[in-house]
Amino acid sequence: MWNWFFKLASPPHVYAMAGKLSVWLVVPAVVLLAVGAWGGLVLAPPDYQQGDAYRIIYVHVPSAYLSMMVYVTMAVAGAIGLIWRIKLAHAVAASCAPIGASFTFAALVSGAVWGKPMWGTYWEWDPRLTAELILLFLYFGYMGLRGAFENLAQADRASAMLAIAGVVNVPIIHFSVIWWASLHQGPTLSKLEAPSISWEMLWPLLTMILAFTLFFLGVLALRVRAEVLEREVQSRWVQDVLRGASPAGVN
Amino acid sequence: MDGYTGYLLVAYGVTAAVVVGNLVAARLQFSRTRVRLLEQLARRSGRSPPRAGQVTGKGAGSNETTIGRSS
Repeated sequence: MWNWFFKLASPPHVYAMAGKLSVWLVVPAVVLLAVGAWGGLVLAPPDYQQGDAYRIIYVHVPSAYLSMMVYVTMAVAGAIGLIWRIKLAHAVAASCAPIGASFTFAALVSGAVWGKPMWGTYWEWDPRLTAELILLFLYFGYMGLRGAFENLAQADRASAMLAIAGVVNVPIIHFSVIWWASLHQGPTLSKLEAPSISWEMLWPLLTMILAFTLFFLGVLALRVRAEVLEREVQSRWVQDVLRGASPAGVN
Repeated sequence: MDGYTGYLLVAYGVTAAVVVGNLVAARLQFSRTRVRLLEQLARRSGRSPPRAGQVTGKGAGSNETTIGRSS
């Protein structure tokens, strides 16, 4: 059992595993994306109040969920890297940032175009919207901070501290609609015991959330491979991989 | 679509662009990193990229397979 655990921190093992995993995650993700989009755009009935405009939920909610989940993953990986000095954890954290930033952007844009027909405005300095915008700036800050250091170890440490400090924003985003008077609607999915959405509308949303999660993990695996190559370039196994050879432990 | 087609197109279009962009960017990052590191290795050895079994450059000879701890 421990052998398996320690292998997770072995760069050649993770490089090989990520290569296999990326395909097994991205392909089902794309299939589920197609199924979820079809279910949301075609099969789900229109909302009695919002009509067809509510169908934006099928890209907005998964993007917003991913923006927060990726940030938490980045902060946890950064903390693991700081505490146990595991380089791979920093590689995972660094790989998370561009993915998280792009989905935060998608959440903000899809939210804005949903807001226009429903609220009459693309943007309002509402607690939920403002906190989500701050999340986007945190991602930019994280990437900017990493790029500001020549020394990789210093970049890892500084950016991990920023990621950990910024994680406080995630519960603020989630609970902002409960804590403060907000234009944004309340929680829909976190109260599944008393669903505020019918099953015909819910299943495409759950499918899309699963698809986005698998997609994130697949793209993360691809990015981690590049990070590992970069960080381990002095190692013999990486030089063998670059030459096209297949050294022991790397398939 | 109740006159909401434009809004739906923008929301789904931007999200699709983000999904495709992420996939393309990740693949490009990998292939570019590979090419850059190969060139870097070739520069260090002062000749064309080394062939299998011919390890050169700083740190050559180490076979890091233990837990990836930083110093």
